[in-house]
Amino acid sequence: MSYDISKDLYGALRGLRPTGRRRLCELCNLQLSEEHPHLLQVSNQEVLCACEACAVLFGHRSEHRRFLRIPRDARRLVGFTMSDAEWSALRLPIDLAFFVRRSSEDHPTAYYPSPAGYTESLLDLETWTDLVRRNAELAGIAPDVEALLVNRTHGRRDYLIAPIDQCYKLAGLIRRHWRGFSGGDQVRHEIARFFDALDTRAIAFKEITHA
Amino acid sequence: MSEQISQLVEQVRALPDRRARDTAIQLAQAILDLHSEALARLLALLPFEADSQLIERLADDPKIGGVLLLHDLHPLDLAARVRKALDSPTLRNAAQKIEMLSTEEGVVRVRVEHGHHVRAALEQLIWEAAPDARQVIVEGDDQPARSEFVPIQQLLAGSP
Repeated sequence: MSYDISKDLYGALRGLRPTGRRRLCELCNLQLSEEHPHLLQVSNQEVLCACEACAVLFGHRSEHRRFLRIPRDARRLVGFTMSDAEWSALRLPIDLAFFVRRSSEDHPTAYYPSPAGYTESLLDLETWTDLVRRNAELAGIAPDVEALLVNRTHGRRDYLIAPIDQCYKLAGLIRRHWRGFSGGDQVRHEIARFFDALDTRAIAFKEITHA
Repeated sequence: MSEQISQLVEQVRALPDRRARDTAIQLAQAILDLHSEALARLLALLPFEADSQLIERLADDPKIGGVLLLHDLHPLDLAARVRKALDSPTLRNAAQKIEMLSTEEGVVRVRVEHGHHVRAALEQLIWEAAPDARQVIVEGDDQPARSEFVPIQQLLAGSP
C-alpha cells in the first residue's frame, strides 16, 4: 500500500494550515487573547468572537437583542434522569446530540454531530415535553445560547447544559477527528476528553439559578 | 505531481512580497478546506454499512487514499496502515521478524529481528503508507551476525 501523497507533499500542504491564528474582535477589531467571550448574532445564529468590552456592551443591551452573550461555562445537571427508552423515543441516529430552543421557534431542535459537521433532526415533541416535566432544570436553558448536551456514546452518560459555542466546537472536533466510516479510536478519545474538560469547568446548576 | 506541488508551496513560502505570499497561502488553504468539506460530506453519504470492499478499494487507491489521508478522512489509522505495509511481499524473507511496536504521537517504532539490510526499504515502505507519520524509528538488528553464513543469492542481489 503506497500513496501518491509523499511525506514532503503531506508536510507542505499540512504546513499551510494556519497555526495559532490571532483572532480579532469581530465588532471592534481589537486583538483578542486565547480566552475571549463569544456572542451569538441572533439573525443568522452565527457565533462571533468578541472582546470583553463589546461582549458587555452588545451582549447585555436588551432593546434590539441583535447579539446575545454566550455563557462561558457549562452547567452540570444534578439529579437529571433519562432512561434508555426515553432516549430511543427521541429517534436520533447516534448516541450524542444537543437540543436547542431558538427564540424564533416554539419547539426545540435536535442536532447531532456527523463527519460532515452536524445535522438537524426532527424531535419527538411529546417525549421532549415529558422529559422537561420530569427535569425542571431543562426549562432554565437559555434560548439560542445554551443547549442540553447529551453524550451516551461508549457507555458514558454525560448530561449538561452547555454553551452553544461548545456544542459547535464538539461538532467540529468530531468532524476533524472522524476517521473513515465508523469514527475510530481517535474520535472516541477526543469526545471523552472534550466532556471531561467541559465537566471539570462546569458549575452546578443550582449555583447559577440562585445567583 | 506530488513533487511539483511541494516545490510550488516552497516557492510561494519564499515570495518576498508578504501580501502576495499571504494571499497565495490563503487561496491554497481555502481550496483545501473546500475539498476537505466536500470529501467529508461525500463519505458521510455512503451508507455506514457500505460493503467493505468498496471502502478498501477507496482507501487503497494511491490517489484517493492519499487525498483522504491529507484531509484526516482515511478509514485506516496510522497503526493499521503501518501494519499493512509490514505485510508487504517485498519484506518477505527480508528479516526473521518485523513487528510494529507503537505509533504514539505519530512516531512509528518498528523492530527488526535478524534483518538482512532491510532498514532503508522498510523505512521507505512505511513512509509511503504513512506520509502523516512524524518520525519513523527502526530498532533491532539489521545485520546478519558475523558468524552467520550469508547466502550467495543475497550477495548477488545487491542492496535491497
